[in-house]
Amino acid sequence: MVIWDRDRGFGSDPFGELERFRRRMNRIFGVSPGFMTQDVFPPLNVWSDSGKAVVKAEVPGIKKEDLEISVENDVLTIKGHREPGKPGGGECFRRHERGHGSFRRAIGLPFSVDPENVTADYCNGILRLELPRHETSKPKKIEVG
Amino acid sequence: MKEEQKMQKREDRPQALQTEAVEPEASFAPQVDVIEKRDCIQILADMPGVSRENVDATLEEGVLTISGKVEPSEEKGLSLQSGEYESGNFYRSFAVGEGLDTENVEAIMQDGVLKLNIPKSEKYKPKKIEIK
Repeated sequence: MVIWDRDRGFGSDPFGELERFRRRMNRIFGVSPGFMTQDVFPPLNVWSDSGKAVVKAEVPGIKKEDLEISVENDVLTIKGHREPGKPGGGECFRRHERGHGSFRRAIGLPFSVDPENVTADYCNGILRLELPRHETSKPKKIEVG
Repeated sequence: MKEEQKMQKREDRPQALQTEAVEPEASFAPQVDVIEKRDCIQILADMPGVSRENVDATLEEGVLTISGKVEPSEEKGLSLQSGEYESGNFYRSFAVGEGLDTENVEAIMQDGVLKLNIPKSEKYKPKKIEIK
């Protein structure tokens, strides 16, 4: 992980870097508040180039049918739910670190996306979305007459 | 020098005496739930990104170790706009008490969650007492 980049300094987002550092430390030492108790859930990684964006979310233990994804222009919304797995009669938690409940998160994407061609894939607790840029939002070259 | 000796001692401690460990290398400790059921102990561990082939659980001399390998999650040709989580391998170990039937552990990996069911030994299972 790059905490400080020689060429970029702390980059354009020093607090983002700090936040990532904090999360990393928490995960290493196992004291992370984790699922649902993090400040924002789910944690997302967003990649893009001029033609598409890729969003990945860590949502372990959530059933495919309990995930709801929607896109409107340049806003992506992910909703979901994880069962509490509550112990029944004669059972008890000896350790309880994993969270549960409902979540909803909306993020802004760098451009408007074509909602018809969004693909979603859920594998090993990671949701991966591929969001192609909408034709109308692609830059157009203007000829000088 | 004294400090050094102390550290030496800690390292010499047999592994079984350490109740828990989160090491080695740069790895993440998965969040776990430990649930005591009537006839077994159930452990649930969140390990997003770990496939069934890349997860490992071992029980040795009273220490249960779970680990998982995560494939790098970079998107080729695209640039990262914002990163909120880091991918890395998972590792965590626990001391397991007596009274568990370590021969018949059941392990299931689904949707990035490892589920282990460790049955209790016959003599530790709850028994109903008949009242005459």
